[in-house]
Amino acid sequence: MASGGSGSVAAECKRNIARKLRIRDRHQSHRYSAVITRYNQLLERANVLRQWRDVCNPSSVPSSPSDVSDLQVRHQEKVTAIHRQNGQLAEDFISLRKKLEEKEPELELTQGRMAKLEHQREWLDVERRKLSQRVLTLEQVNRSVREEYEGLRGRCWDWDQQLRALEMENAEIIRDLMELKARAARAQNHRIEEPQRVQQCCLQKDLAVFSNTPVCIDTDEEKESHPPIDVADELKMRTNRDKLFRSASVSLPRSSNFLQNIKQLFVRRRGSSSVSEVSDPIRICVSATVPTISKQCLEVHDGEVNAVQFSPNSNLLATGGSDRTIKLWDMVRGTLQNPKALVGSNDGITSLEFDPLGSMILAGSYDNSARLWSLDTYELKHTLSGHSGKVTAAKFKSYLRQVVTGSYDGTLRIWDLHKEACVSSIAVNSRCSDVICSDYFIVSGHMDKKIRFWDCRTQTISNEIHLQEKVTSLDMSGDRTQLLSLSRDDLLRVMDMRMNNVRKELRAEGFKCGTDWTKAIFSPDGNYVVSGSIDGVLYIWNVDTEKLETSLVGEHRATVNAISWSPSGDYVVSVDRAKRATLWTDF
Amino acid sequence: MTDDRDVLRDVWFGRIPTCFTLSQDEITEREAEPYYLLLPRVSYFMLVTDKAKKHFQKVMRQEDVGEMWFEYEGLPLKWHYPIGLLFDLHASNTALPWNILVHFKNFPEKELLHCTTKDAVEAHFMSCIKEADALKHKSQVINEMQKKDHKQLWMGLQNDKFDQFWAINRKLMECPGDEGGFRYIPFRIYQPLNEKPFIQKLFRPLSPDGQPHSLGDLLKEVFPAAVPSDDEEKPYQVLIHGIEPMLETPLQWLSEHLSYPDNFLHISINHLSRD
Repeated sequence: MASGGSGSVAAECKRNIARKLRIRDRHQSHRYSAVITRYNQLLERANVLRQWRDVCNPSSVPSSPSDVSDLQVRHQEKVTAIHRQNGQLAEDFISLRKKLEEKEPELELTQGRMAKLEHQREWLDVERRKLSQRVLTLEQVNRSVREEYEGLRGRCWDWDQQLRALEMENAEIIRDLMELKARAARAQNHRIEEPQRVQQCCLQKDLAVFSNTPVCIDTDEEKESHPPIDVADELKMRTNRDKLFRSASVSLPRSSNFLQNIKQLFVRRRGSSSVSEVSDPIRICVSATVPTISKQCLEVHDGEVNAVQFSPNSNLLATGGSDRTIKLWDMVRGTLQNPKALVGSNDGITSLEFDPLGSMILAGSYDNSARLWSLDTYELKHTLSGHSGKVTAAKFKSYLRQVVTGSYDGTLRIWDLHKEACVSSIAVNSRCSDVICSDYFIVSGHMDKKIRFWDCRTQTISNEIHLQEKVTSLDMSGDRTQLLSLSRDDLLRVMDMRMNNVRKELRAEGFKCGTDWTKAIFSPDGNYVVSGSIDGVLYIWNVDTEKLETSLVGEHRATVNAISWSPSGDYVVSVDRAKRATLWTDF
Repeated sequence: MTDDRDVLRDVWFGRIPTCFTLSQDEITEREAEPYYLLLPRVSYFMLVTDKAKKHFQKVMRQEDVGEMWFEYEGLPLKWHYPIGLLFDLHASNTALPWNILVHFKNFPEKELLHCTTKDAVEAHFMSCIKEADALKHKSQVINEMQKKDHKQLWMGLQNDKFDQFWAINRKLMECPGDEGGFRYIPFRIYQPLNEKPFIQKLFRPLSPDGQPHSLGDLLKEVFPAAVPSDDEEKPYQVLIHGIEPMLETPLQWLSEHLSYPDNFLHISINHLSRD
């Protein structure tokens, strides 16, 4: 009951509180809320209006007549100012218009000029288009001409092959012919001598008869009668030989006539008068292109690369290094590919040469010998040993039968390939660094700073040229008229073979000959010479102007040892002491 | 229970019409109109007077604007008391609207604490809640809450969001199990013009024999003078949220429903003047 009572009391209290709260709200908030909201709205609006008023009328509103007059004065001033400004603007306007009128003709002139220029431009455009078209057609023509040229070259090569074969045959025939002639001459001599012999016999008999007549000194006479016979014999022999020689020389003109006929045939065809030219490989490079870029660089040997040579038809490159091998590279689309190694040398390779037909390769070596490989079978064919120092140069002589080698032992040797033996040795007493040879002469460069010219037949020195420093390299131009030498005084000398004197000296800033066997060569057309410097830079000189044509910086990091220019004139390959070979070309 | 919910809403949405007037001491560029606001009873001055401040700053020079403080009839108003309490204590029997003077200078250093940001109000508010929970639940409930719950309480008050506030505050007002009430009732009894700021004592909601204490019991215990004897005219007015609850009202219920957001029952006792 008590709890129920208290519960009802509590409920009553709650109700009471709720009611009181409502009354409170009615009195305190509800009554005022609307008024306060409205007031605040009005306040806000008043504020807005005040702002508006401030914006519209910044200056305080005039309240007295003096203020009004002030204002009037001020306005008047403003109006006059505006008027003044107006006048100024009008003046400006007039002057500007005048200027505009002045500019008008100028504008017209400019426009006219522009039109003219435009016209000219169009004309030039047309011209340019025409020219470019012409360039295109010329390019096409050039391409076709080039193709034709290639074809002709191929054919020329074939013809040349045939020519060489014929020449060889011819030489054989001539030799046989000579032999036959000689035999015939001997027989004829014999025949001619027959009556004489008979006569002599008779004479001898007579003599015998006469000699027999004295009896006293019979035996002695007989003994002494022999020497006269010997004398007579010798006399007879001599006359025989005389006759033989004479008959041979008599018979020669006929054969040489025959030879001449054949030769003239070639001479006419090739437009050259040199006899030695006949044995030359094809030299049909019209003009060599100076390379500009390094197209390929690779490590070709395990060690120093000493020699490099293009084959006569430019499709093969041989490199020789201190790793005792020769490598043959195919030139395929302007790159070196498929290396083949020729082995057999017992020490590093010093020099390389292809035979004019491109069927053999000759190499000099550090092991005191020169070797010959066949390129048909890639087999070692001959070993030419006999030198007592390293062989620095090995070159083919005429008709492929003979080879000339130069060595550090101070001798030059001539080898016969048929006999596979040394046929003669020339002692120089100075280390030989390079050799070039022709049918009738040999040129050798030496460490005693001399270039020596040798006559093949007499094997005597026909000329000597003194240089300032050791000779490292020799090369002959394609037409066999110019000789190029490189020496340790960093000078390249071009000599005239006919005059045997130095004609030109080529040098360049920065060019330095790196070793005692650094090579310098002619371009196949003989217009340029190229050599590599100690810092791996290639220097190319123009022979005619005697000026440096260009220097090529590639990937060589060591002395360039040797260089070869392809007979086609398109590529140059240089090799250095640090395993690398670089192929240079101009495209 | 729906009645109880209404009571909570009425308490929360209680408003006092207020007229803010700029003090004569302040230097203004033009005449400052008074600004009227309906102030929420449960909130604090700092949270609801931004508009008024802006309104008065418009007419003042920037360099004259110091910290704002309020005065009612010569009495600086403490910003850390809820607005409703301040009104009940000082102006309950005067004509509405409540006229408050606004000051921007001559801050009464002796009487008021500085309050530069709302963070100070938040710190004070949260400390009150924690104190109240310490009395009610030995701080168990408030300590179990997460930081974001604390934040929600504050944001609910600051933005006047009843539902947001009560979603959390409900937990603080729950009684544990079958005890039928809090450990102690968090209450403060204020008197105008008194040296002491307020009276606060430990008082259980139930008597030792299990009977629930009423408001009258509390007053008998801590402020006997406020309870009128049977024949006497009552000398004091006991105000909570602007009303005089019956003295028989159960104290536990009062605490649950008529507490301010800081969880305290702020009771204002005004002496009734005879005239």
